[in-house]
Amino acid sequence: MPDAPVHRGSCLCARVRYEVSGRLGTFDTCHCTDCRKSHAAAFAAYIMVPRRDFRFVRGAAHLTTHAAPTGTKRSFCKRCGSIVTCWNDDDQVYTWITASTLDTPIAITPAYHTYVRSKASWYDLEDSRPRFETSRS
Amino acid sequence: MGEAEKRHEGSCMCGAVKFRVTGELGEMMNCHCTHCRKSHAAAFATYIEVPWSRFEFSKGKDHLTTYKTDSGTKRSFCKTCGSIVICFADSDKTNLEISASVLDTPTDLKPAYDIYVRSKASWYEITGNRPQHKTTKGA
Repeated sequence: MPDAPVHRGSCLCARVRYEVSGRLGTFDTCHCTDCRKSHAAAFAAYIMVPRRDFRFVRGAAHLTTHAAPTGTKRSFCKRCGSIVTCWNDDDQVYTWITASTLDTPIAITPAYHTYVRSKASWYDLEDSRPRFETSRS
Repeated sequence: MGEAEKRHEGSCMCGAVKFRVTGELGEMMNCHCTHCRKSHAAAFATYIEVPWSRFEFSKGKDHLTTYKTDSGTKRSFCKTCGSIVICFADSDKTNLEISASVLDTPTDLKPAYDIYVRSKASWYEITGNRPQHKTTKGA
């Protein structure tokens, strides 16, 4: 099944809504400490999209952005806490959306694992996707 | 040091909120419900059950925002960095859940089971031989 031409997503309380036109990019599961802590989850699951294809439809003013010491920024809804985007000011071309805030179905699956050196002790990687100690490069 | 004095500490990503749990931690589990997936913006949430009587915030309790879903479940996250530190329901006066990934002290625990697998992410395959429950553990 082909991906929908426009992908739509929202935070848990739906105050924040976004859409992505065009194809979704790389799907990454990241096990870095900052992702694990900010999402308070085993790992984060992000999909890369060109900034020019991404826009907030509603509620952009309702976001809080936190910059990690590495410079990576994550924006979450002030009301419900859902992290919707992750990016770095050094990259003017791409941003990342959280896969679990997408409301429209997708056919893609995670391509690889990054930062497995800092993965949770209680999470076992048991799939065959490529694993990178830190970033993919 | 006796088991009873064992202490577990956790914090949000930016360190504004800190908590501690005295004594043993309860069960760890993965929840794939839609609310957990959306609020954590992750494949699933991983929580550890602890009694309220042995849990306390050591810093930043006033720095939390609590969001209540229509199911009655509440999750509290740091206003600055967004880390969800606890999940609870007012109907359960005995226990709350802490997010496993905000623990700073090591734990030997592993998830005991997965719940709400009926609503798991289409793009995530559950691995391991843990019991899987369609909804709650009792279902």
